[in-house]
Amino acid sequence: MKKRDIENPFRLFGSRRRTSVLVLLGLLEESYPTELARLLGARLYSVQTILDALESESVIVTRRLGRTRRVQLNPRYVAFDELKALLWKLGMHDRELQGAAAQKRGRPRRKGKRG
Amino acid sequence: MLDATSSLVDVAFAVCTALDRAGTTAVLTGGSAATYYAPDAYQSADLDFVITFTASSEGERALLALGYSRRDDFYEHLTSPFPLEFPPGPLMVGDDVITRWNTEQRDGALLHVLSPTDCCRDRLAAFLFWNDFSGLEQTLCVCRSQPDRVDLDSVRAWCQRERALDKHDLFSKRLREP
Repeated sequence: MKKRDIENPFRLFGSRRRTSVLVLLGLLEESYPTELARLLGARLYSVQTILDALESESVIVTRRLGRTRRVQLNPRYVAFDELKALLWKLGMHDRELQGAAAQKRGRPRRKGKRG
Repeated sequence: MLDATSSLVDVAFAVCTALDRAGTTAVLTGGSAATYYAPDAYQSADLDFVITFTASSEGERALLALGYSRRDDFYEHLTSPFPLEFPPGPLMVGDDVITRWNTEQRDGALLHVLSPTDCCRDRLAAFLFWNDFSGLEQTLCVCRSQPDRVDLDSVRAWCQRERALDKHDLFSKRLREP
């Protein structure tokens, strides 16, 4: 194995960015392109291109909620369970992505709650 | 007297003591309880109290005397930046109804607050049930600030009951890391 591969094991899915998008999506379970781009500090176009490719490979699926494109892993993907477990495992070892995920409030806010 | 310089913990003690003297037991919960246990690591923007007992209707008067006034479903202060909210009870963490909490004492004042272990479970619940990673970070803040007061075995058993050992594994791994 090349030294560069040891230093950067998170290129499993082709590129660091593509792997980050998938792992972060695995951690968040569901997201949308602008959110992923914001959390990763990436260009929206770059994230959208990655998501388009993943969708064309049936790895992720898109749902439209109004004008928002919600994306998640495709539960009908042939290796969904294995992929989900792998992404979680990779996410467990990536503090940077955990920090990115923590910037998003996932829990619901009580109606009328301030702040 | 509360003012703009009062910390969240100052407000928590003042409010809880005033309510207690008015015959109302209110327990600090949510992110504000996390701030109480980890004030240097996590700052909540408001205070959540769940009322577990009331023997009179003097509670609101006690809040007015502290400088709070009601606005919609929360109380705001003339000068303090920390609003008060009283979410409906019972006091719960996940599906567990909480009947025991800590009562802290300070300079003649008291504060009813979730125990450190329940505070951790409360913050971790957001991670378990809503995949909220900010809840994980808050849990870690409390655990690191109260290393001897959190029953980690109890937290693990709870995660196991909630069938979330994978998320507990991540919590446990992060807690071991510097």
